[in-house]
Amino acid sequence: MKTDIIVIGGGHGGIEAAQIAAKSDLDVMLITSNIDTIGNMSCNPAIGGIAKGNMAREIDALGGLMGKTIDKTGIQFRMLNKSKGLAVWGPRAQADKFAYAALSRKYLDGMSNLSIYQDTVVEILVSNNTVSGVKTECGYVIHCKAVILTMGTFLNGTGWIGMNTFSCGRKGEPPSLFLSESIQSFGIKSGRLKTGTPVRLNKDTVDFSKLKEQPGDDEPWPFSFSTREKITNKTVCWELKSNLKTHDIIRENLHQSPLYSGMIKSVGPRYCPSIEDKIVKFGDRNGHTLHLEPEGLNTKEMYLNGFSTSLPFDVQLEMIHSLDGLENAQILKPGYAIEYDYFLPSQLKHTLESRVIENLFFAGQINGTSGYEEAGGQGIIAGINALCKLKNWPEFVLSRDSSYIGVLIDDLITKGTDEPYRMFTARAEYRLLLRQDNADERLMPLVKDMGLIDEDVYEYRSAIWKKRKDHLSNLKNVYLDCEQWNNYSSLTKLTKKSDAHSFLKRPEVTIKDYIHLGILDETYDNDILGLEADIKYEGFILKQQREIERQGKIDTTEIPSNLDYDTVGGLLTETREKLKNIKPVTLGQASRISGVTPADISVLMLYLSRISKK
Amino acid sequence: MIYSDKTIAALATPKGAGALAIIRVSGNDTFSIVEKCLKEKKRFIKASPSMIRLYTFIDSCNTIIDEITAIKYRAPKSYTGEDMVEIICHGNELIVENILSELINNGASYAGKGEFTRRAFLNNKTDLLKAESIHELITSKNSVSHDNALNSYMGLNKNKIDTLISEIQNIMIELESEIEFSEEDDILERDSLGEIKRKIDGFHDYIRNELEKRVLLKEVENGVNVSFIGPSNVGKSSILNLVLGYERSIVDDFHGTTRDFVSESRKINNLLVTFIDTAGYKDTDIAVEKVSLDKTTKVADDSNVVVYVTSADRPLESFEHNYIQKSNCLYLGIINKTDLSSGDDKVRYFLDRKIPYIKTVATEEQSRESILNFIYSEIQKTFAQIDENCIITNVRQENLFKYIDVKLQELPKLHMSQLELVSFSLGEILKSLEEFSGKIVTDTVLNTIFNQFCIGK
Repeated sequence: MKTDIIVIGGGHGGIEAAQIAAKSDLDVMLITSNIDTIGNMSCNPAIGGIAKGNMAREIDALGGLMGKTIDKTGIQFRMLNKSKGLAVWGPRAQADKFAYAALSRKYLDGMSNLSIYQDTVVEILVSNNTVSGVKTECGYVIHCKAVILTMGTFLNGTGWIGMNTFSCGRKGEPPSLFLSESIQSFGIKSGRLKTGTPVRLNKDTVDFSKLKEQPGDDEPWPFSFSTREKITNKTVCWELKSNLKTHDIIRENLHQSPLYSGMIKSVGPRYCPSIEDKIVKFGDRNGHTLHLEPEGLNTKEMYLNGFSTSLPFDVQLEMIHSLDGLENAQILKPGYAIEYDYFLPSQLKHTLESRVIENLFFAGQINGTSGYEEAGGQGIIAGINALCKLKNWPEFVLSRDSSYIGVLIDDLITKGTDEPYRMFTARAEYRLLLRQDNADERLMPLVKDMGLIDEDVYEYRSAIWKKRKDHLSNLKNVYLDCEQWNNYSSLTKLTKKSDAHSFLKRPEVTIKDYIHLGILDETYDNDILGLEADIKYEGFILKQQREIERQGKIDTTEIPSNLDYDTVGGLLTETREKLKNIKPVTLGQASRISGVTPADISVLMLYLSRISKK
Repeated sequence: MIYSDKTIAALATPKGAGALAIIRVSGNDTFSIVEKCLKEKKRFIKASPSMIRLYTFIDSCNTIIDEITAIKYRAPKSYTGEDMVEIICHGNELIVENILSELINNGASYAGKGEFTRRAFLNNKTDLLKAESIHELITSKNSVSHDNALNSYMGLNKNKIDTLISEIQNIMIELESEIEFSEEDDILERDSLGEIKRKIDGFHDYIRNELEKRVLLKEVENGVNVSFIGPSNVGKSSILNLVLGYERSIVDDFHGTTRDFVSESRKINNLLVTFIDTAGYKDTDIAVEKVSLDKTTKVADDSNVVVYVTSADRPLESFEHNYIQKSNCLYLGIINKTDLSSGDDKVRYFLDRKIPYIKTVATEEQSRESILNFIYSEIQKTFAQIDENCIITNVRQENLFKYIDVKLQELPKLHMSQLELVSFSLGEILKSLEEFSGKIVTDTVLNTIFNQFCIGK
């Protein structure tokens, strides 16, 4: 048996990697231990969020599936942070998780040169430090030219509920036991991380009269830049709060927590903490906000967001029953913690290819991230690069000023991570540019020539970009009428004639007002937001672009891969070790390594200019 | 940025008083920047490299800062390999700071630590063997490189800057948490925007206050002007003569003998004090007198210390009220001729207005000491206090503070819809502080958020 690219794992990283590579004429095979769990939402039944929503849209702009899938299977859509600046808006959608997984599978099934195969890979075959194939549990050997690893939390996964431990990749599914050792045998270093998931409750046993309803947006907007039809909300979510009684129960039982009793030693995500973490760290609060979210339209299962726990089952039950509205709630699935192997991402190139084994790519949670969007973003980059490698095309690397995905990968490789990495807008130094509304304009042109974007979609989006540009210059010649404006809005007063372009810079004025007043003949949708953002951020974007140029100089200064750091004088031993480990490709990357100072960069720059002059 | 192609300037000789000081300027715009600061522009343009010539260094208002000599070096024949100028000025810290300040105003930047040397290497001005050992010198913290004068000049009080950094970080942490989590999560249960605003305002007040102190202190370092004002014929000139120790001013019993100002400097302890005698004040409409009195008012306004002189034997006249405490400076009182009368009404007058005063008889030699002591100790009381608390100690720091002040003035309004812009601008301040201190701190913002806030969804 022979194929070009093998993708191991059918989660959100694996799906994107497999489908994008299969858009070419290469043969791609996706191998998963359970064919029925492709596209499973193991934790939160939702896509997007602040910064994460931007990434979901970036995946779509690179030719990914996530946006299309959630648009068709989403049941409640909300734009988060709408009261704040456009740069930090983030779309989020609840999914019908069964429909989501089924549609993902259907998309993959529909690709002619993508095959799906159910088996468990136990060994990566390598010759001359280059991938040559994989071997499965059944003893089956499949030859290939490249392998993309996207096994999520399955590698040597151990689940915990109280002091009870069980071997699993996800509750109810066996872990992947030998693959991690096979990868480590190449000299690739691994670590151990922890994450958790909350309880799932039976909808029929919840007293909704005591909970606060959280509806979706009045006019929901789609994720995918190719979705032209209207999308609708089909359900609502619910809000509730933990109380002092809940907190007392947790405190009394902390000794039964695998984390606090010291049984789990690996690091969990600080920003997605278990309810135990919240009580220990922030016990002074009277209550923590929780959300009760449906897992689908045809299921009784509900996800209790914010209530991730690994306390024993009876304690979980007691905790749940202490919550208003959940006094009689029945637990369908207990919460649990899971520990798993990941590989230190600093051993990768920006293409997500291993620096140790050629044509071996790593994406998703095995690189130490958390979240479907983070996994999908890496999956698509690994997929594109596997494709480029086999086609002898240039490497496809996203810069920090191009996308959140670029920031994510550069952070992972340059800084590494010792806890599950989650994206935040604050991680992006150029976040005014990296908005959810312009992901298409930022990224589609970069992949278009590789044939990853449908021609008609590209045409449709190009027309929108052009229209936006036209509006931008036209608004400079449109003048607002003081009386009309002052009658319309009391938030900000117009005292002398102003053009619509500069007036929009006021924080109280939005593009929605212009549309309402007939100044702009448009419908208010996600595509017109970019116009407002470009005007409001104009001066700041200019500054960022100058900064990008300045940074660009050191970002394009390459460091030879064979540079012997021991011959570079003037570096502290600690810095030297870091550089040796991470092997930065450019001076810019070196400058972002934690602990590397501008002085070190100068020394390096000096050294490089010396050897280049020699 | 340390690795930039900006034109840089710095003091190359040790900091402190000396006969001469050398300021180096290096980079592409060196000649045009220096030219702007010289009165003799043509002379400078025509001067051939390595020719030493005399110039007048001026500021933007054409005020003379110093008489200097300057040497031009044309790239690559210079220390750094770039266009360079070496300015040799008088070795007074204030002159050096003013010259640097002017160069910066005209487009130069402060040199980073050892930046001249670094540029010299980059431009192949030092041989390869030397390079490594000098790398060590640049990066090691306690080494004595040949650039050590520069380094010590650039050396700064780390703690002060660290405090500023952590203040900005704290504000940014609050902002970022507000951006990232306020809607979905339960981290903020308070008037967070109001709190952020208070913190920013507090930070800005601090920066402004430090700058004000700096301005005041600089004036004092420059020397203190002490003017004697008051009605005619109360003995202002006698007092001046007394403190100067010789007959500098003509003294006569007629009213209004002194029409023009008489000034002379004396060093009291370490302080340079310039005493100024002014025309006596009188209700008058004689044109000549009026001009002279306008001048007096101006002198008082420009003085750091105004000493109001009155005579014990004369009643206070109504016009004196218009006069006293008009200018914004340290105000002192002298009641002269107490041998003739007790002057109780004047004592009450000064006490009521909380003006420190002294009783004296200017014709007695022993009064000299007491007047000088009185003036000096009052100056000390006022300015020494500032000196101790002023955290800005050099031009580089002063410019950093000015930059921060401007940035804070331009800060976008703290409106919910532009928190990211406020954060952006604070980020610029943070970055300037980072560059200043040579420390990388950006990452800490996000890291600290997780330790301070509970974040759920």
